[in-house]
Amino acid sequence: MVVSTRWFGSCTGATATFVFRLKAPRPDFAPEMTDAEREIMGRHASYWQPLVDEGRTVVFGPVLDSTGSWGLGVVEPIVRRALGIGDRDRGSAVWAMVTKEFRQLRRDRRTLAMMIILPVLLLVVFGFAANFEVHDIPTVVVGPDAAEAASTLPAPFHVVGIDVVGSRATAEARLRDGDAAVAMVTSPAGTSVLMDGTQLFSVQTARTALSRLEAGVPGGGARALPLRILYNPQLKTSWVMIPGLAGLILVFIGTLITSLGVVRERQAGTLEQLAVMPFRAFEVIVGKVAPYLVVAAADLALVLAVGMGLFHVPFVGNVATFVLGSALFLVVTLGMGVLVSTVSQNQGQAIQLAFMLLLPQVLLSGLIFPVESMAAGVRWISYVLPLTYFIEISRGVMLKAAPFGTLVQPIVLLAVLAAAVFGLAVVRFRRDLAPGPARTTRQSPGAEGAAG
Amino acid sequence: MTGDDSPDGGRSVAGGQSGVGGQSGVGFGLDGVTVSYGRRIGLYDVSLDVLAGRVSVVVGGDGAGKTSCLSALVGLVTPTRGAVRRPAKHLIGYVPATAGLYGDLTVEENLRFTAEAFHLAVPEREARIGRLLDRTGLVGARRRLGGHLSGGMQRKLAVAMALVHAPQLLVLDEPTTGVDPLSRVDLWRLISHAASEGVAVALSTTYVNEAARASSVVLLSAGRALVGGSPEEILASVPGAVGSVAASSRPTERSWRRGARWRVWAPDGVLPDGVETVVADFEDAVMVAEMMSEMAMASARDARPW
Repeated sequence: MVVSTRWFGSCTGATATFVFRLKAPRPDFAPEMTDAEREIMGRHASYWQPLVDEGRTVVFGPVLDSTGSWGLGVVEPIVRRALGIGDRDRGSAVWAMVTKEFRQLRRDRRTLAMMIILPVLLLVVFGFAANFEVHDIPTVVVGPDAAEAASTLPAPFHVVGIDVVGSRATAEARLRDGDAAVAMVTSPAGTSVLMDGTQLFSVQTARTALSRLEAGVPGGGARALPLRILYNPQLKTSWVMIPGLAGLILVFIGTLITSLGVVRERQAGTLEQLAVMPFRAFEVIVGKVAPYLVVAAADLALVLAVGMGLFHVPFVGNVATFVLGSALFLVVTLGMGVLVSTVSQNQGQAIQLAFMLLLPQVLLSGLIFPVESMAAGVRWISYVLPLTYFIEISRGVMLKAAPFGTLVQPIVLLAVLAAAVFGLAVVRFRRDLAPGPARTTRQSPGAEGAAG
Repeated sequence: MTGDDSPDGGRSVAGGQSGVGGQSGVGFGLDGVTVSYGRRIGLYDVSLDVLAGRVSVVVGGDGAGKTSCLSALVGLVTPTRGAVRRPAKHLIGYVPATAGLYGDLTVEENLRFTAEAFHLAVPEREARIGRLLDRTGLVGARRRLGGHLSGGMQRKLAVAMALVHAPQLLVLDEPTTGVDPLSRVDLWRLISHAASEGVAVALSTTYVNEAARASSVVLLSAGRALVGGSPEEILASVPGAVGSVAASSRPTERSWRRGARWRVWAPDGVLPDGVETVVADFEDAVMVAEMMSEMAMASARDARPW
């Protein structure tokens, strides 16, 4: 027998009920059922009767009208029951809200993409980056017996330089310049070891490896090599962290604040006003950044002063080098905020994007995990983050008194980043200012449409 | 740089075809301008003259193309076809529909920002700001934040900001929409004063009765100009006859409510019995223009061979 059920209740939210209609295969079905049909209908009735008794149907039973007889069942969706919403109006209110939010979410592709793609991406990237283990310690060996001593050094020591005429001073210079984390100085009087105390994980790994090495040398046995840790003799975490943390804090505040700059004008409708004024894109961008640059510079000085006072972090290097590096770093950081601002339609989008730039800087800049320990596939991300270079400069100047010459590379790279970020922001912003062909910008709800 | 940097502004021509139905070409304005947003046409072949010392008004409902029209005039969008006559950027004053002022700056600071953006020298700047504050009646509110002003005062400030650099062309997108009637009078006085000083003014409005104050009017509907000309010309060009009648239901197909009575339009000039003939005013002219456009479209549909 053909038992077709179809529902024609609407699911538009407010009064969602399902209406089932059991269509009879022929008009005289009810009085003229065959035994087989009667048996099926009996099972049909015994399935539904308990549901009717429990009050889980609105209406249920046979209908007789001019077309013959048919079965009618009206039920409420089980979802609503599962939610425990007995009150019909309450239920529809929740439903209305849920559908509204889903509709809005569907139109906000960027948020949706962030919610779905970003967690996976972050896990993969950070998973490969988050690595405290050091498998490779760049080491230099100096002194008359350098070649011989270098040949006996096992992994994780990785000899990056052998200098037979070098002295202890040469070794210190190599450590200060960041060429190596460990230096072995050989001399007729005996061999000694120097380590760069700003590279906490390398020093810890090196010390363990060294003690194994000493224990394993026959004869030389228990005699420990004289060891000196430079720049951070007590291996204080705070000494290494404060110079970097100051930068991270500025990244957070600077990028977030400037990311709202252009969007605010867009939302207030003043951007159109700017567009008809005789402004050039770079004038607007520079104007947006300059005040924050002044405040951020004062902020950085304050944070560092407090950090140095509270944690007794030294500042042994050249202030001018530090100021130059910090200024460039702040320009890049604030510029990134403005760039975010120019590509966002509203403040919500701007904040989302700014956070996407902030998160990687926390984990990938070398602040916590050594850049050298990161998987090569994600290490390149470190090299486009301004904080990576700021940390190199601030640790170098503050703890190691690194001269300008040593820090030329990060300073130049910060300048390149600054030019790139500002160039992009200006190019992007020019689209907002210049009269281009009429565009259909995909605008978020609430933004002004272009046609009147 | 901001695109149109040509020092003399002048004539910017887009596309190959010169404007259809282009007007005299004196002063500023649009000549046969079409603006499209992707596949959607925002404005189709519209011409508009904005003359020094005159007020030109673009009338139309929501989505008629008023903003597209004014955006093309000030250079915010480039037409896909047609020509735009406008002065150099530093000689344009523009008020977007959102008023476009800074809520977290005071009245004076808003004016000063605009003046500085247009490179006004300090003495001239202060003199002009003083005059505009006087004229807008915002002297007492000069130290109040833009965001704390009433809607009408915000509009007046926005117009003052657009006038601070003594522009040749003043463009206002719906300056009176949502403004109380008294402020509207003030705004019109401000606008008329600017025109009397020789500024060419173009503004858009949804209020048909405001169009009667203009020296020339373009009526837009769905991106097309239905009629254009001075209010008098438009009134004189209403074909047929317009009448008034009291009726409980719509008396003819071509009729519309006007207060408690109905207005009836007879294209052939023969009004039904009992309908008393009236002199068409501007609102009638707009209704007739829209009906004529509908009739034209309907007959174009009927003429299709399929």
